[in-house]
Amino acid sequence: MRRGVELLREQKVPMFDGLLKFALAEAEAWADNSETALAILDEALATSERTGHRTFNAELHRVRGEMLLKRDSANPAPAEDALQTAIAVAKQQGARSFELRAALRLAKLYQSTARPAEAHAVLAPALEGFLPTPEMPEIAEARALLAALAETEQE
Amino acid sequence: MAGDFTGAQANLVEALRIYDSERDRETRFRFGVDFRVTATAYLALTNWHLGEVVGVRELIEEAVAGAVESAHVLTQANTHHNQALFEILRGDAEAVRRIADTLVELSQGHGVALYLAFGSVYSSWARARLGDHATGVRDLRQALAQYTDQGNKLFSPFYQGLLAELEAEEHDPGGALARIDEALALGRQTGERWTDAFLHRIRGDILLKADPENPARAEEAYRAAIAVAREQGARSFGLQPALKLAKLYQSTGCPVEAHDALVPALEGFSPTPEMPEIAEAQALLATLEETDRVRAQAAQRRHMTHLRVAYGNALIAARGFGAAETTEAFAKARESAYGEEDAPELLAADFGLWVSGCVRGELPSMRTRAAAFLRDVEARPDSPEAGVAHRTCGLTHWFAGEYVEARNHLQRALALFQPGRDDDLAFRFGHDVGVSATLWLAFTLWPLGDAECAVSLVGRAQARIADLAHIATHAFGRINAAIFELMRGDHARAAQNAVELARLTREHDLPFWRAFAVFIEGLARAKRRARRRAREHAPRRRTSARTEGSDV
Repeated sequence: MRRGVELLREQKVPMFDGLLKFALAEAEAWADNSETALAILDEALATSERTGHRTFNAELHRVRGEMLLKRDSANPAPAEDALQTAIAVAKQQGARSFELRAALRLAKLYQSTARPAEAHAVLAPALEGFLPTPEMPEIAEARALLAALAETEQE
Repeated sequence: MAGDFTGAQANLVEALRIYDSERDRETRFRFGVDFRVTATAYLALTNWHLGEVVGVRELIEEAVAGAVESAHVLTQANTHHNQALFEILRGDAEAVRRIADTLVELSQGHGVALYLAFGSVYSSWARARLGDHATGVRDLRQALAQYTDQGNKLFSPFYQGLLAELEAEEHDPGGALARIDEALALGRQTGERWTDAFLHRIRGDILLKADPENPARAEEAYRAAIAVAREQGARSFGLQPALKLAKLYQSTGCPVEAHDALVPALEGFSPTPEMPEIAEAQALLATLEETDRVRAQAAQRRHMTHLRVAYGNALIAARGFGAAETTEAFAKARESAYGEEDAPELLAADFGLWVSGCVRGELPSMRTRAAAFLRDVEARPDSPEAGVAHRTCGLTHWFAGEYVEARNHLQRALALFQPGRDDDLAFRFGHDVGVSATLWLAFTLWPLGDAECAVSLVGRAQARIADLAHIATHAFGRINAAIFELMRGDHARAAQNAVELARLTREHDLPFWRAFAVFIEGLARAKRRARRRAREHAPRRRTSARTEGSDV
């Protein structure tokens, strides 16, 4: 992957920089290199600010939230901030799929920290209008989580 | 103020983009004036300088309405000052007089000395222009002296230029030229360079009027104005001296030179009552194009453009889209295709320049080029090339994360595409235009939440690719299908496409695409190994990762 990034750099082709960087960050995280992953995401976000290429900004913030949570699950506040930013960026761009992904992750975080009402509040509007489809498994997952949260609230 | 109009526009657009009416309600006056209102007014003036004249009045009116609504004196005064500047640039003295009266009354009522000085300058200039020349000039000298006595230097070069223009009409060319020199020197000293082109143009006017039999120095001044305007992207300040220079050349029996001066300056402007110079320049150009010498030169230029486009396409294959030589070839083609309207070579050059900016990730250049491309197909809005222009606009918005705007353009691009009729366009625009419009629409619809439609579009694109023999389209289809799957999170499908892409790049020597294939294959490999490691060594996972090293 790094070789691919290097080849793109040699050709001076920063196209898809955000998407490739978040894929690279995910791969670093699989190899337990959380710090490297976070550094890659920060660099991608800085590049995006400089160039105005904001296509994948919501996704970069979401993955950043996931990495922060993975690095320090005992202190979820920074991850929560990053996921909230991801949702705000996605909303501003009308990128409902990216919004749903970030909202799903944040709802799971709230659920795991015994905040079901907040989980519901973040997930329900993000899921509105989506119908389950095998092309986007996040929808079914979000619906299942929402149903579980509704049951928790009834209890 | 520094004359970096493109940078100013980008920053002002960003300032307005991040403005949040709820969040910023209380803080908007923290910096002396309502920043949304002033950013709107500055954007209007910046757009005028950049030649984006249509819509400027609406922005100014929006700023004035915002200023009135703010009920904040400094914001109102600042907005009227900018409104007066706009009307001076347009040459509407009656409008300037009305605005100046309001500004003076407001400033006097609230004791705002700076804006009272601005108002006095505008009021005097308007008086001189509206017929009371001697009184107006006298008052303007006095207002300018008071303004500088307050320690102000900002806007002085512009005001000096206005005064010099009037003084030259009083048969004092020597004094007027000295004033222009002083204004240019002050601009160099303070860094306020936005008026440089304007001042050089006035210098040309004064010199020509003073000695019409010997126009060499005027010609030099106009050329200086055009060069500065071009460097600053100040297209409106560029058109004015170009028009003067073209008239000068025409009057001295040089129609080809007149044509060459006017065509690049006029490019992209559409006639509007907001800037009468546009219609005047178009009429002059039409007259010049009737001459035999201009006709002969046009034929020669078309031939040159054709060669340059062919050279640019050859460089894409040999050096890549982002290579400096490729951009240069298309830029030269674009330059020689000026005035050709929707000629195939012009559109190919538009696309070549846009794609060069795109692969280098230069969003401002992409926006400029996409807008130029769309303008160049304006005469034939339903043509196949119009579809390509909409695709470039859509993709530009996509890169900026403006999905809704991207969807609108890409849907239009796809609606304009006709299989069969448009098949050969692949050889002019890099790859099959139907495949690319379909794939980019899929890329846009997925984030917008229409996953099924997006996936079905990818399937449609792949079905069309299977029927095509154009190798670059095959490579383009594979890389974009891989990227699409990456966006969806399906790394296995992304890898399948990457493997096929790698085969194509090897068999057909396509280095540009190889990097993407290497990356995505690496990603799939990393994921497979991560899964295997998680399965086999779950209890020792941390230790394993360290001892095995990274698979990335």
